[in-house]
Amino acid sequence: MSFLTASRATTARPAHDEALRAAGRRASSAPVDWERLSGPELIDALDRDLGEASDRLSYLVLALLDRGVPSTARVVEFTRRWRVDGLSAPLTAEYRRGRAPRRPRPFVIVDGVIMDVTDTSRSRFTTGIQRVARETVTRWGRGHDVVLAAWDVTGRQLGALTAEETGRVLLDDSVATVPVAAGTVVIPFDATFVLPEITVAAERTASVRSVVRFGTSRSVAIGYDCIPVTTAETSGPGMPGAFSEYLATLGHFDVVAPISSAARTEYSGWAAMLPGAGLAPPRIETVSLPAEVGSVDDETVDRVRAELGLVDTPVVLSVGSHEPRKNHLALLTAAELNWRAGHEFTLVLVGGNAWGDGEFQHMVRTLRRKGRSVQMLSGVGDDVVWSLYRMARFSVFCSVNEGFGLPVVESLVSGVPVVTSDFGSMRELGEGHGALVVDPHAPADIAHAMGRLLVDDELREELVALTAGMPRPTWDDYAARLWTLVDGPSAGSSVPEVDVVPARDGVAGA
Amino acid sequence: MTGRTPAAELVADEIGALRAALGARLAVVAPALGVDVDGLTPSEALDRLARSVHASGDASAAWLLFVGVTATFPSTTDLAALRRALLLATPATAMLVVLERTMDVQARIHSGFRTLELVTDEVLVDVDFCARYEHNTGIQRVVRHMVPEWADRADEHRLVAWNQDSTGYRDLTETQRDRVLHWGDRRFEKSDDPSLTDAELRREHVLVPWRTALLVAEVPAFHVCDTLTSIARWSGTDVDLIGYDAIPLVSADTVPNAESERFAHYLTIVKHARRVYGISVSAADEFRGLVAALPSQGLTGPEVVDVTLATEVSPAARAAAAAVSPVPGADPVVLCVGSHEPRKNQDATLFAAELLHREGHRFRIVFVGGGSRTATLHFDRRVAKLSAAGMQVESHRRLGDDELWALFGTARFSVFVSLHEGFGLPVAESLALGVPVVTSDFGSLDEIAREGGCLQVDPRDDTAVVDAMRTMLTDDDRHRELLGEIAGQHPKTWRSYADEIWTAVTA
Amino acid sequence: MDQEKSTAERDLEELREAVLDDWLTVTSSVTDALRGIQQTVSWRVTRPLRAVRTLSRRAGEIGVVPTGRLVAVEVARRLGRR
Repeated sequence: MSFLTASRATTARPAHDEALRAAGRRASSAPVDWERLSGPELIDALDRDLGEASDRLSYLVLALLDRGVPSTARVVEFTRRWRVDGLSAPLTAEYRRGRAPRRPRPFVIVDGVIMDVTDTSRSRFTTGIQRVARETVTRWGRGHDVVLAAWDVTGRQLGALTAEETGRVLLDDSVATVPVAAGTVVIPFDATFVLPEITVAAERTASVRSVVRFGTSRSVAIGYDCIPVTTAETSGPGMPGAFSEYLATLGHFDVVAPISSAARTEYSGWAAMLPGAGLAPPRIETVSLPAEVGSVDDETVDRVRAELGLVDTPVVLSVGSHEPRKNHLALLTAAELNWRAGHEFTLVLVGGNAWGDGEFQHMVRTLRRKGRSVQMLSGVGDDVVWSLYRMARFSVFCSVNEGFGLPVVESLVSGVPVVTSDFGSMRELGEGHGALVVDPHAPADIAHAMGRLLVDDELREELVALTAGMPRPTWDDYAARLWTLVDGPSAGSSVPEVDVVPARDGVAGA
Repeated sequence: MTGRTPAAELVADEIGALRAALGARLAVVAPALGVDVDGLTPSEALDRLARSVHASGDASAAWLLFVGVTATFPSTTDLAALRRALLLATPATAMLVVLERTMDVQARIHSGFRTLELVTDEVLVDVDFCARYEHNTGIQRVVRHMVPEWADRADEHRLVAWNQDSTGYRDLTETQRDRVLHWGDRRFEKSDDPSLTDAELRREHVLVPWRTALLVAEVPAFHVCDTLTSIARWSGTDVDLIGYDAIPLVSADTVPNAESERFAHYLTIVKHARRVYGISVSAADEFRGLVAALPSQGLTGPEVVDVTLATEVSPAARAAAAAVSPVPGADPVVLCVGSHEPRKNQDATLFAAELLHREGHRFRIVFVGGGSRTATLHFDRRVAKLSAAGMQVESHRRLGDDELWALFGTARFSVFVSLHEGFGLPVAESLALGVPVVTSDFGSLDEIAREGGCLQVDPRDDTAVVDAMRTMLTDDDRHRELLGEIAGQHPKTWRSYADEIWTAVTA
Repeated sequence: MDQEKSTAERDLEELREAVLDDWLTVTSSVTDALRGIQQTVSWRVTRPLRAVRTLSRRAGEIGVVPTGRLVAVEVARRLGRR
C-alpha cells in the first residue's frame, strides 16, 4: 500500500465505484464479489487482481471512470505510474480527481462489432460516403450482430444512437442492430471497430486512434481516397491538415479497404511510408464499390424533359459538386469551343455543395449573356437525375483526381457514353465500357472529344454498345465482401458480450 | 496640356514610365519566346507576343509572357485562367486577354517598375530561410554546411531568396549571403532584415528561372508552394528537392495540423519535381511511397535517390569534447540531446531513468534541447519533482555550444529513442564526438546505428529502453566494445555530401 | 476596301494604345494613392477598369477583328477624352 492511499480518507464516489466494479468483472478472473466493494477496498482489489500493468487495462479503467475515451498520452502515462508505483496510487488519484457527475451516464462495454456512423446518423443529406455507410450497415444488420455508435460533439464520448439517428442510418426499418439505449456510453474493449466514414474532427480522430490502439482486437476502415494529401491544391483550407491526422489514425488499423484500384494505389503508396516511423502498415484490401443505379420510366423522362425545356436540343450532362477538383472551368471552356464551332446542344450541370466556384459562376453568366444554352440544377431529386441520364447524348466528367468516380458509373450503367479523364479510377471504370478518355488539363482535348460525340452517330452507337459490358457488382456483393474483412478467420466472436450497467438513477442500460 | 491638374501630370508621367518599364521587360522575354520586338512600342510588342503565345498554345510561353508583363511569377490558377482565356481568344484579342488576366495581380502588387533577368545558364539554389532569418534548425544547418562547399563553383550557381511580396526570386544582399555562407564566422552582426520601402519594392530586380535547374534546398514556406509548383510545371526548369522527411504526414498525430497542412502543399511541388534527394534511405523510401501514389492522378512524379547526410562534426566541437573527460569516481553522465517534442520520446527516456534510479543505479541524466511550452511544461515539472526526490536529473532548454560539447566529453552514453526521424543528427553527432548511443531500431536511426557504437531498441517498449540503458551503465565490456566500434568510424564529410548533390543536380 | 482596312487597322492601333494606357493607369500605385486623396479626380479611374473589361468581353464575343472605328469610338466615349 502506497503512502498516498493511507494518509487521506477517500470520499465515496458511487459512479466511480460502478465503473471500477465493471472493470473488475470484465478484466479479472479472480473470484471476487465486486458488488460488495467500493472506494479504497475496491481499488486495492483491482490492484491485486487485474494483473500486470498494460495500456489495454489502463485504457479500460480510465474509459470507465471517464465514461469516455482517454487520450493516448494519458493511457501511456497511467501505465507508467502503475508500473512504478503499483495500481492503487494512480488509480486513487484518478478516483479523487474532478467533480462527481450529478447524473453519470450509463455505459456498456462492448467486445463485438462496433460501427462508427457519426456523420451518417446526424446528416440529412447523402454524400457518397454516407451512401456507402448506409447500404453496408443495412445489409450487415440483416445477418450479423452490429452495434451502431456515434461520437458526441466533444469527440470524446462514443454513444449509442437515438431512434431518429438509427432511422437515418438504416435504409430498412425492419433491420435490427444490437439494441443499446440512447444515451448509453459505448466502451469498446477487445472489440472489432469498423469505420465506414472518414473523420476530420480533431478530437474524434484522436479518440478513434486511442480506441483502435487499446480497445480493439480488430479494426477495419473503408479507404475512399487520399486526395486532400495527394492533391492538396484542390482542397479547401484546413482539410489537408485534418486529413493527415486521419491517415495517422488509419495507420493503426488492421485493414483498410480501398473502394477502387486507384484508391488502392494511393493507400498502398501511403502505407509504404509507414515503416520509416517503425509502424507496421495496415493490410490494404480493395473492395470495389458497386455499380447500382436507379431507374425511371419513359413517362417520367418525358415529363422532366418537357419541364426543363430540353425537348428539341441534344443534352450534354455533367453531374458533380462545384469545386475546383471537378474541373468545371475546363468543361465550360470546352463547351464554348463547341458552340463556336456551330454545334448546338444544351449543357446541363447538376450539382450542389459548391465552394471555390466564383470564377465558375462568372463564366456561366458570361456564356448565358452570349446566348449559350446552359442549365444549372441543384438539389433535384433522383428521378430528375436519372431522367437526365436517359435523355443525354453523352455526359462529361473530367475531374483531376477521383477515388472512384460515381458519375462515370452512373452514366455508363444508364447506357450513356461519357467523356472522362485518362487516368486513375475514371479510366479504369470507363475505358472499354463506353467512355472516351481525355487529358482533363487540356480543354482543347475535352472539346475535341465532345465534338466527336456531338456529330458522329456511329461512334456514339459503338460506345453505347460497349456500356452493356460494364460490370455491375451490387451492394449485396460489396457488403458481403467487406464483411469478410471484418469477421475473417482471425477475428473474435461475432456475438458481442454486452456488459450493461444501469445508471445511478435506475434507468436501465439496455 | 492645358487644363491638367498637378495630379494629372503626376499620373501621366507615371503612366509613361510604366509603359517604358513594361516595354523593357517584354524585350527581355521576347527572345526566349522566339519573337522579335526590336523597334516596337510597348503595346506593339505586347500585341506581337500575345499573338505568338496564342498561336502556339504553349503553356511555358504563356507562363513567361505572364512574368514579362507583371514581373511576378503566376499562381497555378492565374496561369490556367490565362490559358483558358487565350484558348477562347482570337489573334487580335489575345493582347486584351493578357491584359485582363494580369490586371488583378498588377493592381495588388504594383510591380510595374520591376526589371527582369532570365537565368538559363546557372543553377539556381533557393536558400530562402537561411538567407533571411537568424534561426538555425536542422534544415538550415544542412544548407549552411552544404552551400559554402560550392565556393569553387561560384560562377555555375546563383543563390536566391524570395522577394518581400513572395512573387519572385532575387539575389541575396550582403547580409543574407553572410547568413548562408559564413554562419560559423559571421562578418556582420546578427540582425533582422529591414522591411523594404515602397520605393525599393517598386524597383526590384526579379530573377526568372527559365529552362535551367533549380534546387530547393529547404522546405519552402506555405505561401510559395503554389508558385514553385507553377515554376516546376511551366518554366522549363528542372526542380530538384532535398527530401528531409515526411514526418508531418506519416506522424501527423505528433505535429500541429498547420505543419501537416503545409507539408501537403509542399507535396504539390514534389509531384512536379524532377528529382528528390532523400537525406537517408528511410527518408527516400518515404518519398518513394508518395511517388507510388501518383499514377491515380495521371502523374509519374520525380525520381527519388538516396544522398545521405554528412556525419562529421566541426574540429572545434571535437576539440572541446576531447579536452574534457569523465571524472574518475563520479557518477556516469547520461545525455539526451534533441529538440523537445512528443515524437522525440523524451518521456520514455525519463521514465527509464526513473526506473533505473529506483533500482539503485547512480548516474546523472541531462536533457538538452528547446521546445514549445506545451511540449515541455509537463516534462519539466516531472524533472523538478524527481530531482526534489533525490534523482540527479536536469533539463536545459538552452545551452551554449561549448557547454554542450564539454558535456559530451564527460558523458558515458547518450540516448535518442525518437519515434520518427528523417536522419537523426543527434545520433551521428554523438558518435562523431566519441559517445555511444541508445537509439531506435528502425528507419533512418537504424541506418546510422548499423555503423556501430549503438545499442538499438524498440522505442515504444519501455522495458527495452530500460534494459539498454542499464547495459550501458553497468556492462563495462560492452561499453568498451562500442567505443572500439566508434574509434574505427569515418564520418562522412560535408564536402562529400555537397559534391554528390552538385553532381546530381548538374548531371 | 483597302482604305477601310487601313482605317480599321489604325483604329485598332489606337485602341491598343488606349487599352494599355488604361491598364497601366489601373495598375499604377500612384493612381491608387490618388484615388484615396481626390474623389473628384477627372481621370475617372474606375471607368477605365470597366472599359477594359467590357472591351475584352465584347471583343471576345465578336470573335473577329473588331470593327476598329466603332470600338475605338466606344472607348473614347467612355473615357471622355479627346
